[in-house]
Amino acid sequence: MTTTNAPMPTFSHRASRWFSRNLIRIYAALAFIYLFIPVAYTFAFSFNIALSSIIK
Amino acid sequence: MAFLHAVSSGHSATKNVLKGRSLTPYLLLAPGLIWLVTFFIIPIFSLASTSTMVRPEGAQVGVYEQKLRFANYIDAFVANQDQYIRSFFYAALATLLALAIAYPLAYAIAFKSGKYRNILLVLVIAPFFTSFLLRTIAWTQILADSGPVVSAIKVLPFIDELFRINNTSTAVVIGLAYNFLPFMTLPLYASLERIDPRTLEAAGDLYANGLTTFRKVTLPLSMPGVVAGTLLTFIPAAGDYVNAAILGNPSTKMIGNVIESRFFAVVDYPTAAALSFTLMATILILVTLYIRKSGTDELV
Repeated sequence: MTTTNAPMPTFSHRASRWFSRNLIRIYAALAFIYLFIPVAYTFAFSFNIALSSIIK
Repeated sequence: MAFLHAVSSGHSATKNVLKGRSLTPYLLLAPGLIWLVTFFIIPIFSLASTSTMVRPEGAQVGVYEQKLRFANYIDAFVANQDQYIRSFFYAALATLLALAIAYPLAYAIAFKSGKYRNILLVLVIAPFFTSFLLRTIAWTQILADSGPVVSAIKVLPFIDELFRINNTSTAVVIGLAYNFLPFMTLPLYASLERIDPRTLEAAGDLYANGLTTFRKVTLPLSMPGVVAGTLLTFIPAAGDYVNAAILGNPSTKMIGNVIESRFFAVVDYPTAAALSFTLMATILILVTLYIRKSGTDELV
C-alpha cells in the first residue's frame, strides 16, 4: 500500500484562500478606516500652528 | 359599630389603592406627554399656522398675518421642486451607500469578531464623539482638489485633469452616508446578532454554499434591521442641510438648505413652514409605503 502526499498548494492559491476567508474582515477594516479618517484628519490638524499665535 | 367602621374604612382604603393604581399609568405617561405637547404638538400647530400666513402690503420684513392661504404650499413646492427631488435622491443614494458599507461591517462584528465584539461596537460610535460639524469640515480637506483622495484617483490614466469631488453631489452623498452610518450599523448589528447560528449551520448541512446561506437565511432574518437602518438613515438624510452646505455647491442644495435660508436669511416664515410640512408629509408617506412594501409592519 502506497500513500501519496497531496501537492503543496501554491502561494497564489493560499493567498486567494486567505483573502476569501478574510474578505469580510478586510471590508470591516476599510469601513473603520472610512469612519476614522475625518477624526484622524481633525486630530492631525490640531497640531498646526494656531492662527492666534501668529497674529499678535 | 366598631366593626362597621372598620369595614367601611377598609373599603375606602381599597378604593384609594384601586384609584391610585388606575392613575399610575397616566402619572407615568405624564412627563412624556407634557414633553411631547410642549416641544412637538404646540410647535407643529404653530408651524401649521405660520405656513398659511401672508405678508401684508407694505409690512416690515418678518411681519405676517393669518389669511389661511393654502396656496403657500403649492407655491413653495413649485418654486423648490428641484431641491425636493434632489433631497430624496441624495438621501436614497446615501442610504444605499451606508447600507453597502454597514451591512458587511455589522456582519463582521456579529459573526467574525469573537472577543473583540464590544470593542468594535464602541469603535462604530467612537468617531461620533467628535462634533458633527467638525467631521463634515474634515471631509472638505480629505476630498479637496489637492487632497489624498483626488490625488490618488488622478493617478489613473483615464481620469480627467479637472476631476474633483469636493463641492459636487458625490461629496454630499459621501458626507451624508458617513454622518448617518452608525444609524445604519447598529440596527443591522442588533438584527444579525439575534440570528441563531444553528440556522446557518443547518443551511450548511443542507448543502447550501455561503452565498445561498446568506441569500436564503441571513438576509431574510436580518430584514427588520435593514428596514430600521434604512429608515433611520433616510429620514434625517432627506432633511439634512449641513452636508450640502459644506460639501456641495449652489446646484447641490437640498430642501433643508432652502428651509434654512428661508427662515434665517430671507425671513420668509410661511414658505419655510410650508416646505417643512411638505417635507414631513412626503417622508411620512414614503416611510409608510416602504414599511408596507417590506412587510415589517411591527416596526410601526
